[in-house]
Amino acid sequence: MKIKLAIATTVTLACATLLLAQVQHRELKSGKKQIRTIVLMPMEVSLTKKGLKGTEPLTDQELDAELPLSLEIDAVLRNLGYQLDMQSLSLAALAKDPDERYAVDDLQKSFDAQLQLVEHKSKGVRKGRFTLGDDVLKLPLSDKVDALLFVRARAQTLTENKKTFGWFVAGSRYDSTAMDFGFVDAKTGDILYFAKSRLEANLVLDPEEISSGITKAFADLPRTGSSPLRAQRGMALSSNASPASAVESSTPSGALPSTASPGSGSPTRRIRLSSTAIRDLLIRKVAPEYPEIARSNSVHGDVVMEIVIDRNGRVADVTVLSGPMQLIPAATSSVKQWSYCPLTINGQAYEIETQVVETFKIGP
Amino acid sequence: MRAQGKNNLSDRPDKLTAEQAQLPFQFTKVDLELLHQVDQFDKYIQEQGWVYSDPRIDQYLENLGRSLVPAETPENVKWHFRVLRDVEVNAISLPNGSVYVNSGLLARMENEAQLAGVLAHEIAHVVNRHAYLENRSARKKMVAIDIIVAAASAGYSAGLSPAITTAMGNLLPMIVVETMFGYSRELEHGADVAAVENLSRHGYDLREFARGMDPLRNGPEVDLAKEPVFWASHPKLVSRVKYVTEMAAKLQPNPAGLQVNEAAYRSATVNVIRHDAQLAMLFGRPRTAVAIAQRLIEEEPNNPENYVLLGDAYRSLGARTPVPTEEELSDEGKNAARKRLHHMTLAEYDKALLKEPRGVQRCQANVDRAQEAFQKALNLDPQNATAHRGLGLLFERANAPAEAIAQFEKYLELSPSAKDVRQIRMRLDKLKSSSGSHLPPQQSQAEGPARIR
Repeated sequence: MKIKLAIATTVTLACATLLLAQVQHRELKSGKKQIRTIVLMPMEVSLTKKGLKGTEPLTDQELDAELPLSLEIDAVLRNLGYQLDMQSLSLAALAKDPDERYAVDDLQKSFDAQLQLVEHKSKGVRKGRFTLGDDVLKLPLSDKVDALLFVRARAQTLTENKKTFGWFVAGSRYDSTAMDFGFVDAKTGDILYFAKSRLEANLVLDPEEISSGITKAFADLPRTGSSPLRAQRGMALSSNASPASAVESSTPSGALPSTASPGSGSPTRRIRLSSTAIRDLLIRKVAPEYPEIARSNSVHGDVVMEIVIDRNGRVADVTVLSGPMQLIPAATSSVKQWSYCPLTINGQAYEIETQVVETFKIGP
Repeated sequence: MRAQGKNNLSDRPDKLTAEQAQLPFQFTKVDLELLHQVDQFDKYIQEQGWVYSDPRIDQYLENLGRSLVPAETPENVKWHFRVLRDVEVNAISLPNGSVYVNSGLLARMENEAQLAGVLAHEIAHVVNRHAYLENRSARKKMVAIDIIVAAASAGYSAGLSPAITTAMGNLLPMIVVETMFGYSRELEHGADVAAVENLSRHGYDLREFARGMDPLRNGPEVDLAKEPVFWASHPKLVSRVKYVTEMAAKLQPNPAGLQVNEAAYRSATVNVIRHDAQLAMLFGRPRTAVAIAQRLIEEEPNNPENYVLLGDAYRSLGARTPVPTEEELSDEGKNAARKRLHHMTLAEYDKALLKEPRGVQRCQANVDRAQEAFQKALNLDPQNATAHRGLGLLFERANAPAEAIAQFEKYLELSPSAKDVRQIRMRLDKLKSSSGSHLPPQQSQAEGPARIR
């Protein structure tokens, strides 16, 4: 009986270790070590398409997926009061100095070399078992930086045929995304926090699920004690942006000044972001008028819309995804008047696809 | 098991592909898609810092490579010859004309004729469109996926480091990644024959091409791979050496006066070889680093940098012997090492070795050798900053804070703008705070160096 109990306990503990989604270093948990400023290492994202004929990489989309993913991570961390620096170790910033590029590459390889062990023995993170060593100090960073964030994302898209086939053979039927996050002490190289997220979601097309997955992965990060940080898109992301440049004249009145102006020469590109990631970009919100007829009939609820924000921050297109019929005209009409801070990164202007929800409530 | 699949594939002559290779190549939509992906990958690896850049080796490699390419550039090919920062002994070519030689291969080669052989072999793969031909075979694509999985998990003796292999597997069509590990036997043979003819036309000593393949088989590290997967440890390497030697005898019956160019090779590659030794130390191959440093000292016995490198390499050896012991080379020893590496980080592995009594003795022997090497560097150049850093690290590890502080301070004084200044300063601060104050060193330089224990 005792033996059985011991085996059951061992198995349960082993499974629990394997399934641990987030683990933090004991010194981080106790507050001995604190994180506030985090620098994002160049992330590694791989996208593949799996069909009946085999697996193919989606190289072009990989590059497009990195930016929205970094914006999603930034938004979640800001909400928790952390400051994420996405520029200091970006590939563009490292392009000039080969030694700095080598230092970053060596650390990336060092992280990857330990990743498998960290995933399987994640409990070791608590004890400070995993470290990249003080070679992290070779990075061109200031002493104010507390941690480095390593991100590994692997996403798989299934072709329609493959999904159908999956129903018959009990194989995979959904797109999937696996993300690993490692927060590394910028002074000692110790892995302070490790989290993994496994989602049945498309990395590019389902930003709401991705954002939710990141939020859950970061759930055990200690609170910084400071309030959520507001995004400074232009300052944080656009190295070419002039802080003094004003928003374009076409921006609706009442708009807050933007720190970045959309690049004029380059063609506009489009990315999909979650509602969390664009929350701080909203600079003008117009409340919908409750249609009298709907109110008198007690029609209420959410109208979920997909919108396209153009390079000037205006809502260029609205598509209703769900909601009561009588509320849809009022919802779309108000959303069309919203305006956002234009998203420009390194001189490249972006259109944004995202979801918004208008809630109609009766009563106070 | 999966690796075995690759061997079977390699052993199987592919008649269809060989016949296709004889026909004039016409680009199809599939080929152009592959070209686009390869171009993207090419750009990616340069941005990532995988490519080593130094004007001397860049110029040398580019000139040597371009001297071996055909006069007429094939369609959709732009020749580029670069060094990949990777300790594995390997070279790869992409169908767009980019040829990458691993720093680990340069460190193992001895002269220009050997390197020319590798480049000519890779050029032949590009010119004969081998990657495109393999890509057209759906059957092989499916096999390739298994190869990548095996490659990524092969660990120690893969032809590319696991991190790069994984990234390549993520970014490139699987078939292209597979081709980097070796084509079918027939295509490899074809590339060898083309390379031999090319080298012969350019007056290179063909015996060196064969000799260049030989050292690829045995390095100073213990080969832990159960199944050789890659070009570098290709099971047919023995037969390749044999037929290249036979061809050399036929084509060059009188080898006198043929090009070998050892001096030009040494001069152009010395920096990248030192860089490779640093990589080897970083990624748990200190024996390789020791072998490289010893070779560099043989070639240039009065260069203090070579002694610093040797000192660093001995320091990173920890409790290992400079060359593998018989026990390590036995199947039992390899199995034990494999198990440990799957459960331990490199730092933990080093600590585990130190727990054995003989580990402590070995470690002390390495510390002595390291100290001796740093001292030789300082004898040759008393202002050599990196030798002081090396000694500082040795003293720090030996728990001699006063000596470590003195060496680190000297390093910072001599090299105030080095890339690792923050790292050394941080160590210095820690030493000072733990020792409480400036302790006087046990023995001054004038009295001779203190023995580190």
